[in-house]
Amino acid sequence: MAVAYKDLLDPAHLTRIENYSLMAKAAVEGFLSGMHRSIFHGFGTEFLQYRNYVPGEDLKYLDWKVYAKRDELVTKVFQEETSMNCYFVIDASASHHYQGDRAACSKLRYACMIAASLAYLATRQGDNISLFAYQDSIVEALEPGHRNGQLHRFLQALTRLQPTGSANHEKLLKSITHHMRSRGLVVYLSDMLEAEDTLPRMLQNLNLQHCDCLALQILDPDERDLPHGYPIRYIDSETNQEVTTFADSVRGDYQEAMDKFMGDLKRGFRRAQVDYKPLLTTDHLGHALSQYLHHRESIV
Amino acid sequence: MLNFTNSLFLFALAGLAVPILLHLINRELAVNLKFPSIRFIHRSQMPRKEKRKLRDLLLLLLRMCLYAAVVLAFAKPVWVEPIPEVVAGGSSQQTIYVVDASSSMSRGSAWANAVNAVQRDMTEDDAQERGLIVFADRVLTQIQPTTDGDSLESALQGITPAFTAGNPGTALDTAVRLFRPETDQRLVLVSDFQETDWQRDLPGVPENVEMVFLAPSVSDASNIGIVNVNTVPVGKNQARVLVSLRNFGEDSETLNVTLNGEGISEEKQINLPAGQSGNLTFLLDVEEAIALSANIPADSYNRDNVWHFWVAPPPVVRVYAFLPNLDEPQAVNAFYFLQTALEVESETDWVRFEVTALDRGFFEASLLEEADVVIVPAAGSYLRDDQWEDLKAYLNLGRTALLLPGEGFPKHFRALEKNDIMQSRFLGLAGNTNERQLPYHLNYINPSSRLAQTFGDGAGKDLFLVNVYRYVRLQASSEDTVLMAFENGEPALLSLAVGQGTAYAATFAFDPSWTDLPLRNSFLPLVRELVQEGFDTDRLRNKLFMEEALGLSDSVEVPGALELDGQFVEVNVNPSESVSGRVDTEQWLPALLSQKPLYAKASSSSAPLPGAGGVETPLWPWLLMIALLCLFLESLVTGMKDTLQPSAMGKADPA
Repeated sequence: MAVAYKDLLDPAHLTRIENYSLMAKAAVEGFLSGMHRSIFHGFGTEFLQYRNYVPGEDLKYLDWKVYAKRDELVTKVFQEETSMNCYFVIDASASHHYQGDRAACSKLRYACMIAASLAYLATRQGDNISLFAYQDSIVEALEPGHRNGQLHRFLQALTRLQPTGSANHEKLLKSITHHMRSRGLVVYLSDMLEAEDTLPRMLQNLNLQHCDCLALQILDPDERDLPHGYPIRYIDSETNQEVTTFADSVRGDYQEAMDKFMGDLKRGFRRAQVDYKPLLTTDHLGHALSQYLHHRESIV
Repeated sequence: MLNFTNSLFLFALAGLAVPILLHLINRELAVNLKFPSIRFIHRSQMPRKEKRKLRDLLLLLLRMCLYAAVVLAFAKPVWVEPIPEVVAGGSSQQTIYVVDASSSMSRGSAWANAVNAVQRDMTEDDAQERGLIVFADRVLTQIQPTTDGDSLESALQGITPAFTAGNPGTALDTAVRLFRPETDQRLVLVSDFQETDWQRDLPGVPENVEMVFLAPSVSDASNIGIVNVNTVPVGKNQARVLVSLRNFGEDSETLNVTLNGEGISEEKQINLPAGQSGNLTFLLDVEEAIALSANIPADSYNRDNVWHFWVAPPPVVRVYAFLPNLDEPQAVNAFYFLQTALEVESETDWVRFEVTALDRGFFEASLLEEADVVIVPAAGSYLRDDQWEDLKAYLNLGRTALLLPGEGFPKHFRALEKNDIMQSRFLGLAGNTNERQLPYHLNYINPSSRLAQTFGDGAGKDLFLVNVYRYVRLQASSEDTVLMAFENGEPALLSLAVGQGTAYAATFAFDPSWTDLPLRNSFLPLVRELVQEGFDTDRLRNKLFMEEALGLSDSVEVPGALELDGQFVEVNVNPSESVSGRVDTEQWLPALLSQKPLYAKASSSSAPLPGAGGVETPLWPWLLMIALLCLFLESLVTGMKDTLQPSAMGKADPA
């Protein structure tokens, strides 16, 4: 039975693919085949194919040699090449290890799947890709590039990520900002917990570096509704603080506080003119991919 | 009535307290869950637990029911249908007659007097219901209490005393159970009250049961009985018959004892003083097995005047000795000494040994199977691995082997270790031929061995004077039995259990360079006893009393010399029935019976005695079904519980 393209973007489906390369290819091809159009061929430097000349097109792309041999007007199509860098910044702190019953993967795995898919897409479009992953320090760093092997190195770095420690957003985002020397798109992936005050401000600074920023917040569905029905001793992944409670009793207050947190975050990013998209680990990757393409178009 | 076959299992019901305690102790514990952030999670009150309590109570009940059902199933309960009442409405008095019909009751007119005593009592007694139990070694006839007195009389008329000894215990127990509780109970014991029957562990009789002892008059005439007959071989074709008699009377008697059989009629006279025993011997030419009987003239008790027995040439015990190399002097010497010791004619053993030497090529499994005993005299080092395997397979059949070391002793004992025949560890050699001035001596014989009977008391003196100049030192394992040991505690002779069989391993060669044992008087009995220690001579001849024979075969009805399943069986009346001593029925016996518990009370777990109850219905299959049902329901409730509980601990990190 054929797999629908939407299924290819379902984390429950993609998480079965251990290899990030295959997973990214499956997600992106599935996503693109669903769009029914190709907008990514341009006039770069790398020859891609010939197509018939359409009156009105710039004559400089006509292949005169073909015209001389065959008496046909054909236009050279080149692989689009841009000087755009796509920076992926991933928060790999311990809180990203969580995986509730409804999710097919942990938050970090979901973030990596998004990063892999977007990186694959970016590479296909000729963009340079770069990776920064941090916890209380930078754990993975990959300089921008688009040559052969860059995607492979990118995916290998994702594979090595293990969610441990606590995240020091302020310090590390400052550090990462120094590495961004040219314009580009920053895709920031994090659960953004307890950072609604600092993150919008930090990501706003990236605009000063001529970078457009896309903040993708990744949460597990359990973090939204606290579904557990029995007494549980909750242990904070990063601080190891404990609180024993019965979720049924505190669910209302929790959801209210969580909504407020999300609202504050949304307002903060809007003020900082940073695009913000909250995602649950059960959401299709298509949401992230379309957000990315939307931003890229606006930049290019 | 509910009975338990294995009532000891009922103690396990105490284990029911465990789930209750666990239930009381156990409380709902919070599950640890690592969560991304607890910033918005506040502490709260624990939930109300009525639902949980109800569910857990159901689980507790199911688990207790499951446990109880399993325990009760192991106790094997049976439902015994109560004995139906003979007369509806009941009556005020019941009398049960317990009549002894053991062999001793055939003495003179004892049985007729016993029957008359019962009839007379029935006439004089005004009981509305009467029951009857006739016993010998078991209950022979049982009639439940009934108003039909004629049925009791006709039953008694059709009975003659059995050929077995008496065992009144079962009869008493059955009789007490036949009484209905609400009636006046009267128990009439009719017996000669012979000491050998009544001086045993008997069940008690409840205090409310009136006991009456009726001892029929027994003739005081003298009685002489044959108490045993033994036969031993003399040479190859002769047998010596030893007849043992006892005068149970109070006067000295002279009588003729005759042996009768196929073509044989021998007679001898013997004088027996009062209360004394005597023996007579007959020497008979015997070429094949024949059934004979020893007879004495009739007297007041005739069943001990004849003794049936078999006379047969002694059975041959085949002994194969492995003698691979005639140039090996120690092996040849050992073989010679053993052959001489085993083939010597003995009047005390009812077997005849035939010793055959086997060359190297003939030591194989098929040939070994024909042997009753295998000897490896100083030749173990010549055996190949496959031949050791054959020897082990032979021992596994339940046979016997005698293993003696020689000059190649290291290889011999290493092979024993390697083939798992001996578990003890080979340590080396102690002594040598140049140290004869300091020989080693034996000083221990395992008291539970057959050797201890032969060499007990002073008979072992010669054995303990045996000089051993050198021997192989072994570290004895607990799995091997030390039969003989030296003064320093090191083993001299080991009994090695191999499967069903036994191997005897000596730690010194039967050779003058190792020991002077073969030249000692104790050598012959040592070797013969050693070989017979693992060789069951009793399997060649079976002496049974009537009560034992009845347990083996229903075809045995009267005493005689029989051939059952290829074995010669001698079945005779138990000489204990000839004893004229009586128990005191006025003081000692009533006191004994009143102080003892009932069999039923003492061993309520035992199965009901024959005839004591009605149809038995085993209940354990039902209990197992209940247990399975409880298990299913428990799984169901547990599953529901798990479903209701979110799998908070599911994929989350273990804290």
